[in-house]
Amino acid sequence: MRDDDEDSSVPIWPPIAGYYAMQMVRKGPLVPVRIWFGPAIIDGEEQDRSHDWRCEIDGRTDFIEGDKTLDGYSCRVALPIDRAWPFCARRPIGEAEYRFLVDDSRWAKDHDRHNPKASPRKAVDWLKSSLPF
Amino acid sequence: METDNDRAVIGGNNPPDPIEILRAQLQENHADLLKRSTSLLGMLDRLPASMDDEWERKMSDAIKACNAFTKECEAMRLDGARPYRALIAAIDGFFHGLATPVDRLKTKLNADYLTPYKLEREARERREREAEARLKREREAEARRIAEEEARLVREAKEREAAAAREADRLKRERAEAAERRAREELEAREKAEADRQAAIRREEEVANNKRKAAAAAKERERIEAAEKVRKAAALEEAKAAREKERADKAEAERLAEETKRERREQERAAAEARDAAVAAEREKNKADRAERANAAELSRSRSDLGAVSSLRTVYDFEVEQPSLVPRQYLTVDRSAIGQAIKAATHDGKCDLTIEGVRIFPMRDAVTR
Repeated sequence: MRDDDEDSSVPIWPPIAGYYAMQMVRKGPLVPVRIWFGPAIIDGEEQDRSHDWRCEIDGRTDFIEGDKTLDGYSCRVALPIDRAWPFCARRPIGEAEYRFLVDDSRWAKDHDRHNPKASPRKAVDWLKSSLPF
Repeated sequence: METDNDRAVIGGNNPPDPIEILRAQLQENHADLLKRSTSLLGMLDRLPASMDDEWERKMSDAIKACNAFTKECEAMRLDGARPYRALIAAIDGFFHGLATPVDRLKTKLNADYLTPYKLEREARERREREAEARLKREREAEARRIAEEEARLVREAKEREAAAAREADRLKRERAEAAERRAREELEAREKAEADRQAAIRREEEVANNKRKAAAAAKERERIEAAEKVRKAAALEEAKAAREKERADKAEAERLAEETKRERREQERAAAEARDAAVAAEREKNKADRAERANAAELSRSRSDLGAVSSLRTVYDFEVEQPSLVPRQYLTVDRSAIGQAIKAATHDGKCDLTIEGVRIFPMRDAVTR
């Protein structure tokens, strides 16, 4: 669409809650993203903390943060919002499609390791990826 | 030790064809590509009966996978053929290195020696034949000249006789004309004397008339001068009235011009407004048209989850319907057709073919069989 026909700017801040799709790497597959304002969810449990902007990327709401200089230190922390916003804002999707992408990604990881969605951090290798049908 | 074994020669053990060996090696080296090809072609058996949005994305991914496969095959092909192409280039270089200098020598012998000599010989032959023909023509011309000279002498004698007869006739005619002229002159002299006498009588009468006319003319001049004075006074009055009228007309014209100018300004302003409105409407229309055209491509664009983007692309092709109407800039000259026509029209070394816009000329070159 032409730039002078409509306003295509996206606000840098604050984020807009909703469902989105984005790529984690260049030429990688699309992964589902959810943005909301509320408590953090770590390891599947809602935390009793102050509300803030949160994101879920490819079904994950947290990651393991570790410090290699200290023995054994590692802990799960909530994904920071800037991992998804504003990169995901280009592709808003509906909730149904979001649910499908989440389930599809989980199935790929469990049953089809050649499916690009099983490795969203790698670019799609069209010579080796499993066929769509 | 002698033996009856016919196969006891080099190649007698029926070794496999080198091309078969190469094919087997390629199949072994690119087994994964073979497997991928089989997988891709297996999609033929699983094509849908009808399309929907989901299948649209799957088709885009499938086409992307096919593109990647063909690109990989092409890269492998070029890589695999590189050593063989180098060998072919070396073989070509060897034999071209032998044949090309000899070809250049042949061209030099033909162009610098044989053909110029043949051209010179042809010119020499042609000159000798032309000299013979020229001598023959000169002898024939001399014989014709002598015959014409004799005929001319006879003709001149006849003409001299005719001229003498004409001269005698002329003298006789002149004597008769002189006698006639003398009689006419005497008659004219008598008539002239009579006319002079009549003219003198008329002159005396004319002088008397002129004196009467001069008196009448003087009276007439006085009358005209009086009338002229009256006319000038009337003209002055008329000019004054005309100037007054002119001033009044000028003032009226200026007033009308001012009014016209005001009306024109109003019309120009209305026209400019209408023009701006038309331009704005045109711009909106162009914007809508652009949006409509842009949407035609955007409406068909889709993106799969793996990043394959597909959309409709419009390219223009052509088909010639009426060759006679095609503009000249798009036509080309068929050199091979012209060459064939020239060859077909050449008999005994001569070509009388004419083609409008084409100059057909001979080129001489020596041919050795």
